Amino acid sequence: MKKLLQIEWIKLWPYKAFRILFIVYFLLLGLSLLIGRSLNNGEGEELNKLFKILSVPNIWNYYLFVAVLLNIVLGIIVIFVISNEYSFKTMRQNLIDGLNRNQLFVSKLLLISILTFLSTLVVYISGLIAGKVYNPDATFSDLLERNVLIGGYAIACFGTLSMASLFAIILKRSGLATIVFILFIFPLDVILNQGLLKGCCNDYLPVSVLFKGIIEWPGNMIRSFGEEAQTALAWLPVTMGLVYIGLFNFLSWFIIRRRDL
Amino acid sequence: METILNTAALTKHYGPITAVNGIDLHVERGSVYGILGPNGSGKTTTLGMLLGAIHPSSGSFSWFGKGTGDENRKRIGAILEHPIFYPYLSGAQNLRITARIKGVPEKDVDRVLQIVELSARKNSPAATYSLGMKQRMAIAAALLGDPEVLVLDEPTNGLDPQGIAEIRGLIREVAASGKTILIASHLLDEVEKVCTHVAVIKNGNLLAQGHVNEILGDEQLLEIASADPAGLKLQLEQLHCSVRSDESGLFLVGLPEGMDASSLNKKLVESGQAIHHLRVRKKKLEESFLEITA
Repeated sequence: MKKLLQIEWIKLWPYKAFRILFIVYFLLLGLSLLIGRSLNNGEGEELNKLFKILSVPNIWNYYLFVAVLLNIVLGIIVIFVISNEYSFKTMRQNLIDGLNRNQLFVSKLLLISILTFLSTLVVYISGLIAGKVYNPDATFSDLLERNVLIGGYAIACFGTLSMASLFAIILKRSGLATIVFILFIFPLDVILNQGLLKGCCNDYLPVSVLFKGIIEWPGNMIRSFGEEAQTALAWLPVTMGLVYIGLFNFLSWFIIRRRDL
Repeated sequence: METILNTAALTKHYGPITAVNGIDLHVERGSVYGILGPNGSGKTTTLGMLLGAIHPSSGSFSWFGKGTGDENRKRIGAILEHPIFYPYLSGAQNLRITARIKGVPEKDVDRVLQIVELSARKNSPAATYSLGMKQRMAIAAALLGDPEVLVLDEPTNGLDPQGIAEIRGLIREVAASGKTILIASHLLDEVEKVCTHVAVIKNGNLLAQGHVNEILGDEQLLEIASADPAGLKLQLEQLHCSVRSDESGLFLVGLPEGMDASSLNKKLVESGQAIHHLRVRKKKLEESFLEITA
């Protein structure tokens, strides 16, 4: 395990595209909090007073919603890293050099686990800091209210990265996998959901679960002028999220085991 | 002799196509074993199966008498198809990854870089290497941890004559140290120059295998020509010689048991055939190859 981690680290850290995408991701996360800051001045302040987006604990609902959307960027990073292993044929060489197929799978699982952990940590700490900055009067326990949602964010993030990893493993090419990943998240899911299934399975399809099921969109919060918002995780989307994590990773493992390299 | 590799009816189908058809190989310790065949004959697929990258459709193989286990590959240094690297990493960084995978101490990286004489370029990105350097770097990676067996797939493919000479020199040096080497090649010349044993495959079928000299044959061939080619041919056939080829009156002839060049010459002269060209030629691998694959 430690060996696989070290190998992934030697591979990835010197990779410029990986670092750039990673920095872009963190910049976008930070930017979403700065946009919040502009709401804090002048008219923005009025708006914020009205909808209480940046008030504690509503800031979690807003920030985690943005963070869940930005998981798409993390997903693209995962797609690049994994499909590169196919296009460079290095996955095959790693196997020839002595890794077994389970280790090939586990090293990719470790990659998405660490990205999930890092991103959850960064989102959590930056959320706490932003909460305190925008609400100087808030106590620590105010800031910690609704922090069960961060667990939901971690599940959504891990699920999204598992999905990205599966697409990269199936399609092997970064461009194709990225397009399919994005199309699947935006139009395809809607077409499948609303068109074919007539909206009957909203709560069960992966994109709905991972992007608005576990962490709900803050629409309700806006409509109710900040009075109503998600305060806890619902068992159904969380369960479905875990089911999809299991399914996506099982399929990835299965393909790596069975397919010729 | 200890057996390093055995395969039994190793087979790979891709849909209706049979890429490798029931191949039985037998490789002994210390041999330099060439797998010879034209492009597309199934050499890389065979090596891919032996190295765990391709699942055989049927049949089996065993390394070191220990079956197909993944651990075996740590005792093998291998290049499949062409040199493979993370292009954005330097040669040394790439070798460090291989060393980690093989569980070899990192200091071994410098040793193998010296063997292939790439120490000076070890910090340049692999993408900037020439093809010859990549081949050498790949051999360096294969040599990490001093494995018992080297598997090289077309190690001189695409190289210029100097590069070819360097790689062959390197292979001979490694072979001299007692390692077992498995080389796939479509170049007869390469197999003849480097290998002790050879397996000839075509369209996925194993046509022959054995010591290079056995496959090469000790059989003598004679080049013979006379002013009367038709009469000469008739005469040769009556003497039970096998006429292999006829290039505008120049016959390539295999001799029957107990006959040599001078006795043939004598008989031909006695029968009234005055020959004006007679040359003894050892059968070359190329001819054996064409014969075997015909």
